[in-house]
Amino acid sequence: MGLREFSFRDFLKKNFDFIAGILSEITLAALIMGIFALLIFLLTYIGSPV
Amino acid sequence: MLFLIPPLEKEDLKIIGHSLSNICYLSGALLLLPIIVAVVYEEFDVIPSFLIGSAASIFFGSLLSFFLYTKREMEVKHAVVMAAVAWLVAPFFASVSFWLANALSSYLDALFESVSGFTGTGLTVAVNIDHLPRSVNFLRHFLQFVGDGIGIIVISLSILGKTEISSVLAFKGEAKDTGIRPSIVRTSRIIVGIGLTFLIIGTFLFTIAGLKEGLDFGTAFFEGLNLSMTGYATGGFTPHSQNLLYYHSFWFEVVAIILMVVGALNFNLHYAVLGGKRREILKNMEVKILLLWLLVVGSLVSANLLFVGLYPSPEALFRKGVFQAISAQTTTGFQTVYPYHLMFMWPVLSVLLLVAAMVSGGCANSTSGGIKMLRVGMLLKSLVREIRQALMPKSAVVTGSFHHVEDTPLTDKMVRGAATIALSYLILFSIGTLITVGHGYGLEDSMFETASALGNVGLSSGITSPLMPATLKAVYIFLMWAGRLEIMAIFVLAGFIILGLRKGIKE
Amino acid sequence: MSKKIFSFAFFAICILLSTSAVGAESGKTLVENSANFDGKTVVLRGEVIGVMERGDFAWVNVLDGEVAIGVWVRNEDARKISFVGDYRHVGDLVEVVGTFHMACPEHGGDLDIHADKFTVLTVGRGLDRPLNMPLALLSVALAAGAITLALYLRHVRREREKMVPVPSY
Repeated sequence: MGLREFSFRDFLKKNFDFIAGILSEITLAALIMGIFALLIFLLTYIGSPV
Repeated sequence: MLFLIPPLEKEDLKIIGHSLSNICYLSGALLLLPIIVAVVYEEFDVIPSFLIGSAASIFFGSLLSFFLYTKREMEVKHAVVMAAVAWLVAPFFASVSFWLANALSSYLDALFESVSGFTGTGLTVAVNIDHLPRSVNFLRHFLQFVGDGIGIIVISLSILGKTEISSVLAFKGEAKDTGIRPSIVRTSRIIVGIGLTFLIIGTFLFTIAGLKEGLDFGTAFFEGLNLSMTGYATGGFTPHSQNLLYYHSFWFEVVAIILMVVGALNFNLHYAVLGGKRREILKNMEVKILLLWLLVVGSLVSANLLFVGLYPSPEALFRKGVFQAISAQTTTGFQTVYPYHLMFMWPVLSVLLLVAAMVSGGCANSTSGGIKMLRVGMLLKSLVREIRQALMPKSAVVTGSFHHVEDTPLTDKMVRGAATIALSYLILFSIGTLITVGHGYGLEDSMFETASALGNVGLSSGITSPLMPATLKAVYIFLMWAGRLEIMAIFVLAGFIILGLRKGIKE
Repeated sequence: MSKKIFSFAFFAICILLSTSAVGAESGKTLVENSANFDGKTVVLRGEVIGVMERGDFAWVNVLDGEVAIGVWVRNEDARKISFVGDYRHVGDLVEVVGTFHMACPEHGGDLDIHADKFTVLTVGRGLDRPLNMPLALLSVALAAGAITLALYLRHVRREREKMVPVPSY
């Protein structure tokens, strides 16, 4: 009885970890894009009066 | 020096040949998969090409298995040589299919395309890609997913489930020395699982992007599946001659970037992160170095392009400058700029920055090529350590460590290994560049194309084409092959052959 | 006499004009001389290999020889297209007259042509790719043969093993 309950929680946690992991990797890529976007705006801002 | 190495025995050849047969069987089976695509799109006339390529592979495999039968165990040297040979044999049979399907101008081109596919490079000599049968085009992309996204030896281990030492060593030969799990078979299956996961996610994202950008569902799905295969595999083939420029779509490029970055990450990292250790992403040494390198290259390229006035708008700087930088660093090869423009219109500084990115590459144990961030990181840390040692009193000892899933001390052996590979890499890079220049091409473009082939990238400055001199094609085939096997395996194979020729083969 | 010379000259000029293709540029020329053509009106002829509708406009990828260029056209024009080129089809041959951009500011730096005029010169058609029956049968036979041989040799090896085991050192 207690054993079944434990593995269900475990199952949910594993799936949560998996999905959260995928999302965090995608977030890393998004982060990289975001940093570049900022960088480019900075560059074009500096570049324009010059 | 040679007399210290034991001579080759017939058993050595048998061990290699016998394990190679499994690879042949697998490659034969995989060559049948495009038949499904051919049936769906009613391209029945191309089906014989796949059947014959598959038949040849299976036939060769059965000969190997029968005549070179042995039960003796594999040692490291066999595994390394086997991996090197497997990475020529598997593309060979695929090239038979390509050639029979009339997809390429010559047999050498077919071999080039297969090797480019299998090694996850992405340099293409295909003529009229837009008019290729969908099944043949699928095979191009599928080869990248199987060869580089996952790795044919990994697939073989997952399916056959061998647990002897031989598998461990063959695994090492393919340069995927991970040790995620104690069992090599479990590790292989996990790698396959990760690959399939991102394949599904990538296909899903690309399909949505395709629907949004004006493609019908069937086309969006087919293009999405192919792009996902080559995106995750950091390959670089696309279903069209304009490469990613065909889609004229910011969203396609965004999804591509996601897959490229994911593909460039270490399998160990994927395993840790997907298992719950999400913090690892930010603590991992390779990720940090990769981010640093990307930022440096990406911003310098953008600044350079802005200064030259080639792409004045911020969006263009991102979609052309940054995109190419990410494509180069992750060694993918998706391109949103015409090759001619890279050669003749991009400023030399940006081209050279891309070369630096391509040569340094992505993370170790990933689908990326290049020297790899792990080695670059180790060498940089070692350099810092040497400087510190020089500044310290004689008796002091400076140690170093780095974080890669767990904290690991940086040993001299590691640094030596990293330096050896990096050096071999740079030697091949120099030779490749010289040979390309020797064929009449400019210096920066030669460096660019050589780095692209050696690092299994796929970005082209226009040198790679069906009209490229045959000798150069052969050289690039060698570079792509060497790059995929991280060069050491090639040297071991060469040593093996020289040993056999010098001393003969003992009974 | 002068009439003959005049008519000959007229005839020759007509021939010259008709073969000069009314100033159409090839895709290759456009890509390789982007800076020169930037912002100018160009004429491109080629095969349609891709159509993507986006709002009121559409992207039409036109292949001329080895080079394909994206053309931004109005939806009404894009809808004139009947065939998109692929393995089983020859795409419509179209002629585009429009402004060439080396790095279009509106389209994130893409090299493109904004079409003013878009005409379908020749409608495409389906391509028949007949199955080579003898080759097909041969290939099936070879594949089946190879698989059978593989299984048979494996069987033979197993039998041999039972009689004289291979030493496993």
